[in-house]
Amino acid sequence: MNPAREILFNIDPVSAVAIYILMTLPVALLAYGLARRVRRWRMGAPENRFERMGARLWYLLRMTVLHGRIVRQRNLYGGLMHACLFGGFVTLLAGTTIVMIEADVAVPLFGWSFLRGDFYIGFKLALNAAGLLLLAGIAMALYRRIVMKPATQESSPDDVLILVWLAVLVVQGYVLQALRLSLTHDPWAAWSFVSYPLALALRSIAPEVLSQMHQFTWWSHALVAFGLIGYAAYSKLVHPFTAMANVLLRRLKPRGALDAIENLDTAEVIGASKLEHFSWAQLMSVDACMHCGRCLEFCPTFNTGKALRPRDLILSLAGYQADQGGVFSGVLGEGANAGRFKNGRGADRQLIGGVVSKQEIWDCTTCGACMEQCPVHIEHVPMIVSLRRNLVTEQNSFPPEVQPIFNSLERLGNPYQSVPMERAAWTKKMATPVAEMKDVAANGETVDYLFFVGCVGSFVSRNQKITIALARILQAAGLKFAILGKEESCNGDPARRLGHEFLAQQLAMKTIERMNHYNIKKVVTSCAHCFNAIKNEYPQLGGNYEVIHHSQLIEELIASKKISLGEGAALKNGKVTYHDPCYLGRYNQVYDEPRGVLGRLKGAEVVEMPRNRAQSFCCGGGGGQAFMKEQGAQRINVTRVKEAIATGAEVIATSCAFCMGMFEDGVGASDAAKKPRVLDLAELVAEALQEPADVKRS
Amino acid sequence: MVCPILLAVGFAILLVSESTGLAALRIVAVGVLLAGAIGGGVRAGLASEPPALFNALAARFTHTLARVTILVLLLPTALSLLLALIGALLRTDYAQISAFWMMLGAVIALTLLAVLAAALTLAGRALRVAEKIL
Repeated sequence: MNPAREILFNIDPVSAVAIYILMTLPVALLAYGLARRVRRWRMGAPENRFERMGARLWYLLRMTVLHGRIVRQRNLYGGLMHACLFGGFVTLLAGTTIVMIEADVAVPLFGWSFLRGDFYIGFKLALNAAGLLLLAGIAMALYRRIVMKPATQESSPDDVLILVWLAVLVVQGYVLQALRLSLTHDPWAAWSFVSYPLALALRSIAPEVLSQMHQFTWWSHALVAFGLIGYAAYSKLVHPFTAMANVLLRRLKPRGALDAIENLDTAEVIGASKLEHFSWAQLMSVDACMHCGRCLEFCPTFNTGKALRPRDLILSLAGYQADQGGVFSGVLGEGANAGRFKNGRGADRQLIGGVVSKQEIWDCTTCGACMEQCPVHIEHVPMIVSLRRNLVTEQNSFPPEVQPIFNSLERLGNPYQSVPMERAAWTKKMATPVAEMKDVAANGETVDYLFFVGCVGSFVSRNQKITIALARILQAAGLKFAILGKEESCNGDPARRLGHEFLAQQLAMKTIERMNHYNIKKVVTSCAHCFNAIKNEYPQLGGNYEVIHHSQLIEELIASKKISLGEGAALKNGKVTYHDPCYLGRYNQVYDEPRGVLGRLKGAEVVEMPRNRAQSFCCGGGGGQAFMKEQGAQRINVTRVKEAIATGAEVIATSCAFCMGMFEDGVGASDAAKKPRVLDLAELVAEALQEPADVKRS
Repeated sequence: MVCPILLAVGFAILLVSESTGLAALRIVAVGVLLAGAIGGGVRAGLASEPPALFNALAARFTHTLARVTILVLLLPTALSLLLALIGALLRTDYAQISAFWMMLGAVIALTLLAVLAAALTLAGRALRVAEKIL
C-alpha cells in the first residue's frame, strides 16, 4: 500500500465550492489594503530604484531566505526568533501550496499524483516540524514582548494579537490533522509526530462525532487563515510585503552620499515639509518599519535620552501617512503603536512641528547607526536631512548657534571664522616645505596625491598636529604630494548635513573647480568627513577622484615597507583602543586598515570597546553637531569616552578630525582618575617613524 | 466593471466544474476568481478615499473585530484539544455523547472562563483605582 492522503477528506462538495468563493474576500481585502499604501507612495517624488534588478533580486534572496541582516551576533535571540517564525511559516505556506497544486493542477490536468509514497511521508514530517518551529518562534516572541521587554522594543496589542493568531492557526492545523488521522486510522499516522499522540487520544470519541468536529475545525481553520490574509495589510503583518519591497528597491548609491538637489535655483521646494516632498521610495520605506527597535540599539540620541528616536520618527511618518491615506493604509485604532502618534494625531497636522518635532530633526548626528542596523534598509538620515533642508532653506529656522557657522562658511570658506590666508600656516612648522598645487602646476610638475587638509586640520591647533604628522609620514615615504593651501575651502559636508544645500553645493563646486583645474587624480584626507564627501558626493557634481583616507594610505605605506616603525613613546607597553569614525567605518566600511596600523605599532596592545566596527557608537560630532549645543544632561561624547576608559586603554586612537575634538572634550569632562590621551593614527605612526625627524617640533 | 464580471465568471466556472466533475476547470475558476478579487481590491484601493465615516468606524473597530473573530474561531480547536486531553487522561468513552452537546459544553466552559477573566481584569483595575484614591 502506497502512503497517500485524500485531499478534501470529509469535506462535502458545497463546502469545497464555498471555500473558493470565500477566499476571494480576504484576497480582495489584502489587495485593497496594499493598494491603499501604494496610492500613498505614488504621491512621493520620482526616484529610480529599478536599476540592476538581477543584483537586487539576489540580495533580496540573501536577506530573506538567509536572514542576512536579521540574524546578527548581537541580536541572536531576535534573529533566531524571526528565523523560526519565517522558516515555520514559509514551510507551512509551501505545504498548503503543494496540496493545492496536487489537488487542482497535477491530478485534474495531468492525472499525476505526486503527494504519495516517500515524498508524502517526508511532507508530513516536514510540516509537523515546521509547525513546531513556528510555535517556538511565537513562544520566543511572546516571551520577549511580555517578559524580557527590551528597552528598544515597544509592544502594542496588535503585536500580541498577530502572534496569538498564528499560534491558533498552527494548533488548528495539528488538531485538524489529528482528527483526520483518528478517523482514517492512517497506517502512517506516526510520521505526523505532533498530531499522532493527539489522534490517539481522540480515538475514544465516536466516528460520527469526530467527523463533525473535523468539518467544524476545517471551516474554522480556513476562516482563521482567511482572516489572517485579510487582516495582513492593516497590521504589522504587512511587513513581508513592504519589507521585501523595500529591501528589493533599496538605495544602491553609496551610503555616505546624500542626494544632491538638482536644479537648485529652479526647484519649487527645497527639502521636505510635506509627505509628498519625500520620494516614493522613502514613503514606501516608512511603511516597511515593523518597529523592531534595532535602529535604537546603537543610536547616540536614544542612548543618551534625547528627543530623537529613529524608530519613533519613522513610525510618526507612517502614522501620518496612514492618517492621510485613510485607515486602510496603515495601522490605526486602539491597537496602534504609541510611537506613531508621539506628537499627536490627525491628517491636518504640519509635518515639521506637528508630526516630527524640530528638536528631533536637529538632534541627529547622522552617524548612520540606525541605517546600519535596520533589517529592512530604511534610510533615516537622508529623510532627516530633507527635513533640515526645508527648515533651513524654506523656513530660515535652525538653532541659533548654526548662524555664525553658515556665515563663516559663506564668507570665509571655513566654519571657524578664520582667514583663508592662514590655511597653510601649519606648513611653517615643517622642516621640509610642503608644496602648494599652484606652485606645482606653475612648474609644470605633477604630484602623486593632493593632500586635502580640511578646515579642522588647517585651523584648529590640536588638529594641526595631526596634519603635520601626516605630512611627515608622506615625506618619509617619499611621496610627491601637495596641498591646495589658500585655494582650499570647506568641502561642504557640514553645510550639507546641516541642511544648507545651496551653501554645500557652492563650496563643493568651488573645490571641484580647483581640483579639476589642477587635473587632480588622487586625493588623501586625514578627516573622515572630507574623505566621505569627496569620495561619495563629489561625483554627483562632476568631481571624480581616487580618494584615500590616511589610515588606508599609512597601512599601505607600512605594508610596502616605504616607512618603517620603531617604538613610539605614547604606546610604550600601553593599551590602545580604536574608535571607528562613523563616516569612515559605517559609511565607507574602512575597519581593518586603522586596526592594521595600530597592530604594527611596537609595544601597543590593542583592545576593543564593546561597541566597535559597524556597531560603533558615535562621538556625537557628526551632522553639524560639533557646532551645536547638545541638548539633555547626558552627553554623547562623554558616554563614548567612558566606554573607552572602561577598556583600561591609555590611548584612545581615532582617525577623524571631528572625533578628535569630541574626544578631547569628552576626556576633559570625564571624572576618571586616570585620563587617557587622545591621538590620531597619524600621530602615533609619526611618533614611531624611524626616519630622522624632519619637522620643527612646535 | 471588469472585476465583478471576472468574479461572476469564476463562480460560474467553479459551479460547472463541481457539477460536471470536470476537475480540470477548478484551477481555471480559481485563477479567474483571484484575478477578479485582486483586480477589484487594487482598483478600489487606488481610487479615491473611502467615506470618512467608513474610515472612522474601521479605525475604531478593525482591531476589536480581529480579536473577537480570533476568539470565536478558536472555539472548535479549544474544544478538540479539551476533549483530547480528557480522553487521554481519563480514557473516557464519548461514543454516546452527541457532537451538539459537546460543542455546547465547551462553549459554556469557555464562556465561564471568559467571564472569570473579565472579572479578574475588572478586579485588578478596581484595585489600581483604589490604590490611587487611598
